[in-house]
Amino acid sequence: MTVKFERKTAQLGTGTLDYYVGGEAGTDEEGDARLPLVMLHGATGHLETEVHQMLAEGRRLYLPITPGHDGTAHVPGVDGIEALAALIAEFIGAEVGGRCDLLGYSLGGWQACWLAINHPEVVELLVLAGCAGLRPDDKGGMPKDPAELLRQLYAHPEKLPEDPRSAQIKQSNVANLAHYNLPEPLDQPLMDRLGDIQSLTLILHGTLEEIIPIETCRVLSAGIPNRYLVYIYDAAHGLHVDQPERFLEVVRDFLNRGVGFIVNQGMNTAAE
Amino acid sequence: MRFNYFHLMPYDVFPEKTEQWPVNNVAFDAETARQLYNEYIDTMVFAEECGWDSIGCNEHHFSPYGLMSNCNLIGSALIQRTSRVKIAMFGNLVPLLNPIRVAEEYAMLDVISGGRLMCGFMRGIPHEYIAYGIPPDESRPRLAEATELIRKAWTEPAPFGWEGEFYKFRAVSLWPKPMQKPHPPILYSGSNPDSARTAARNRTMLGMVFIPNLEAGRAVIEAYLDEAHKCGWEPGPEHILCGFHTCIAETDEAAREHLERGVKYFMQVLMAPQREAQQIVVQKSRYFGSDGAGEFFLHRLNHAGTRTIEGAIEDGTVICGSPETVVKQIKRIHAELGCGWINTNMKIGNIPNDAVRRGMELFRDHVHAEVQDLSKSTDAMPVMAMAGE
Repeated sequence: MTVKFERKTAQLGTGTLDYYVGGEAGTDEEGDARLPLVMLHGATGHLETEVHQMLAEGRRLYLPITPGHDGTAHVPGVDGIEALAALIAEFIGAEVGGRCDLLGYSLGGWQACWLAINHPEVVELLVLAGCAGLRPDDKGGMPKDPAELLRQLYAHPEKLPEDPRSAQIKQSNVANLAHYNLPEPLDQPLMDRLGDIQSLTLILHGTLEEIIPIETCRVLSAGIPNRYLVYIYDAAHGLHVDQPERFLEVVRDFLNRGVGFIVNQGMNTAAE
Repeated sequence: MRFNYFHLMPYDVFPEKTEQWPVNNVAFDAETARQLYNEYIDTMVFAEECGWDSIGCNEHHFSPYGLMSNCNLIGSALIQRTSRVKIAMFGNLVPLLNPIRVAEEYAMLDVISGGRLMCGFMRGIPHEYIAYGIPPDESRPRLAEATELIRKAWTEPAPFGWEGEFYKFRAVSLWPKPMQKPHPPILYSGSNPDSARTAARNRTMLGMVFIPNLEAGRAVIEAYLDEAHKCGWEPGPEHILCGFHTCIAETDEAAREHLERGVKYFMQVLMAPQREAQQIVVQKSRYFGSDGAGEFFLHRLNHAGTRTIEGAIEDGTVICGSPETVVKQIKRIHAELGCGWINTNMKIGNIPNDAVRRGMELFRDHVHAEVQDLSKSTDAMPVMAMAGE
C-alpha cells in the first residue's frame, strides 16, 4: 500500500516549519499505539524513497524540512545546530504529540544528538544513521566535486529514485549549510555531552562509508551510554538508498522491540 | 624462502575405487582413523624439528580424501606440541561456516599459540557446497562479506552489529580477540588469475596449488601483483605461497616410485568420488565466473594424474627427487615464480608414512640449509589494513 505524504506547515512560537507527514499509527505487542517517528534529513535535503514508505507502514512518520532547505524560508534566530534542534523539539511538542522516536540521517543525526541531549523529554528511541558533526582529525567530509560527492554518497546510485527537485534547489540545499554556522568537522561541545543522551540509541554506519569516518562511530560508541552500533554491509553514506532492505530490517526491528532487537526472532520479526 | 608443511590427512587405507560422492562410510573404521590421526599429528610436529616454518592442514567433508572436517581441532593439537612453527590453517571453508565462529576459533588458536596463526579464508572446492547445503553461486559474495565481517570482529574496539546480505548479527564482541595486531595474516587461495585478483583486492596472501606449469603460475602471480598495485599496495614474496606435491628420497628413482604410487592412489581412489560431484557443481552453478575459470578447472580436474611424474618434474609442478635434485627444483621454482613460501604436501595418497618421514629427514639434513636464504622474507608478514579499519 502506498503511503501518501501530505505537506504541511507548522506554526510554532519560534516560526514556521514545513514538514511532510504520512502513515497511520499501528500498535505494539501489548496493543498500545506506537510512538510517531520523526526523521531528520541530511544536508542534501528531503528526497522520498521506499524507506520512507516502509517506515510509515504501521506508524505515523513526520519529515520536517530544515528551514532554508528545499525552497523553504529560514526561521529568524534559528542559525545554529542547537537552535535547529530546539525548533524540532518545539515541533514535536506542538505537532507530534510531545514524544516520539527520532531518526537522524547525516546532518539530521547531528541535530538528533543535540535534541536528545537538550530535550530528552521528547525523544524515546534514537537512531543515528551516518551521523555528521563528529569527524575527528578532519577525516571524511563532503567532497566539493559533484561526481566525487555522488560516488561517496551512494555505492549503488542506480537505486536512487527519480528526484523531482531542480538543480538550483539541490545546490541551494548544500549552500544552506552555511546559514547554520556548523562547527565542522568536530562539534566538541557535542562530543563532550554525548554521555547525556539518555535514549537507547542505534548507530548505523555503511561499510563503504567515506564521508563520515569510522572514527565517528568510535566517538559515538564511546560517548553514548546505552547504544548499539550496526554496520550496514555494502552501503556508502546514503545507506538507506544503497541498502533499503537492510536499513529497514534493523531500524524497524529496533523501533519495534527496543533492546530486544538483538534477539533473532526468526520469521516473526518481520511480522511485528 | 619459507616452507609450510601441509597435510591432507587422507584415510589412506580406503579399500576401493568409487565414483560416488559422498563416499559411503560403511568402510570407515574408527580405530584405524584414530591411529592415522595420531600418526599424522606426530608427523606434522616432526616438521618443526626438520626446519619447516609452518605446519598446517585444511577442511574437507564426506570422503576419505581428508579427515579434517574442522582443521582448527588439529591446529589446537599442533599448538600444544610445538613452540616455534606457525600454525597454518589453510584453511576454514569460510562461505560454508558461521563467520563469527570462524573468527572466534581462529582468535583462540592465535592466542593459545602466542600469535603463531596464519589463517586461510578458503572458498573450497566446488563439491564441498553440497556437503553443507550452501548454494555454490553464493560462494564468492559469501566469502567477500564474511572476510569483511571477520576482520571487523577481530579489530572493532567495541561491540557491533552486522546487517548484510548473508550474515546478520546484532551484537558481536569477541572474547578472545587475536594476539597478532591488527589480526593474523590471511590467505586466499588463487590458482587462476581471477581468484588471484580477488586476493589482491582483499589484501591477503595468495595461495596457489596445482598449477599446470610454472609459466601459468607466473601468470597468476602477475595478475595478483598487478591488481594489488591498482589497489595501492605492494605484496612481497612473503605474500605468495605456492603449493607442490613433494617427495624426497635417497635417490631420484626412489622418489619417483613413491610419488607415482601415491599419485595413482590419490587420483584413482581418493579423488575419484569427488571428481564427478565437482563436475556437477561446476556445470550446474555459477561457482566460477564467466572468464573461463570453470572450464580451466574442469580441464585440470579431468587431466590431473594423466601426466607422467617425469612430465610434472619437467614442468616444475612437483618437487620430487633426491635432496640434490630437490634443491635444484626449489631454486628453479623460486627463480621463476618469486614466491616467498613453498607449501609442501608430502603425504600424497598412500605413500607410506615412514617414507614421508624419511623424506622430511632428508629435507632437514640436506635441503633446508641450501634453500632457506633464497628469499629474505620478513619475519612478521605485514597485513595491510582495509579501508575503514
